[in-house]
Amino acid sequence: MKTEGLNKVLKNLNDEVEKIEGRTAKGLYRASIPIRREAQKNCPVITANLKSSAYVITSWSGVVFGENPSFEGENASQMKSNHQSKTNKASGSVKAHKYPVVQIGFTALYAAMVHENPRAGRNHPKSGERTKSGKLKYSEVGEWKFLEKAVKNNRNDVLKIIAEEARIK
Amino acid sequence: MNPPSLDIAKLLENAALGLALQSNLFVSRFPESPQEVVAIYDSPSTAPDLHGYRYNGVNAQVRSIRYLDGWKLANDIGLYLHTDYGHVFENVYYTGIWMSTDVEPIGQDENERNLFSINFEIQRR
Repeated sequence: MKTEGLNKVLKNLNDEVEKIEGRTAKGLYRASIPIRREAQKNCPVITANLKSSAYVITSWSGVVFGENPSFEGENASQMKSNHQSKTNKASGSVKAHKYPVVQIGFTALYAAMVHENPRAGRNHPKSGERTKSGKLKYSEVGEWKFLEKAVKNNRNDVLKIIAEEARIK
Repeated sequence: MNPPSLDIAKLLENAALGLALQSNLFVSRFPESPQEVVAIYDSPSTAPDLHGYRYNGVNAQVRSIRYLDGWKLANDIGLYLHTDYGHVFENVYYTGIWMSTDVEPIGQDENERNLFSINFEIQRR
């Protein structure tokens, strides 16, 4: 018995697998959008520098969000250079992955401190308190775990979006 | 069913880590004294599944004057709870407890005391 056209079948199969990989990447990126938006929305805000320091990096395109954010206040230039160096470093490590990867993060120097502080944002007893000159001293919005919560809240949608994109069309 | 933070605090009190509730171990508050203190908080959770399992998040905060002491205590707490599974505590079946992040040094407070954070995921019913 002779089987003909096996090479063609294998080629088609490999082509399809490649397309699925590309579509999975697209799904991953699409799924990251609501997570990043929700995380930024739930950030405690005094200067908005934390919110501005959000970034999204993909393993196939590098920094796709937060490439050149603007920061305010005395530490603006330090935050800017920190943002560049952190996103460059993260971009390198994300790009080293064999499979599609999307990373969402915040580069503000105090990002981890705020994210892990149960009294951050509106949960602080002094939330909304201002200085005599009217400058906001304690954020009146947002809360800790702003990124973790966004990931958890969107978990089901993320899986749906990736599956939807990866489906053979 | 207790909030997960309370059950976890009680587990830690029984863990020979030198922690006692309302002395140097607290639930959902982080008092100014003593200097060396552990606080357990409920953190974001996801909805229960259709089999009735709850998926809770718990966060442990450790404060210490000495960085090494704080890190070590946070690490001991993490390892004590990590992969603890399959037992009943306070009438609740704990399928498992896992560290979802490693010991994270998050900086110092206004009194230059070192702060550490560890996150756990819990499945229980």
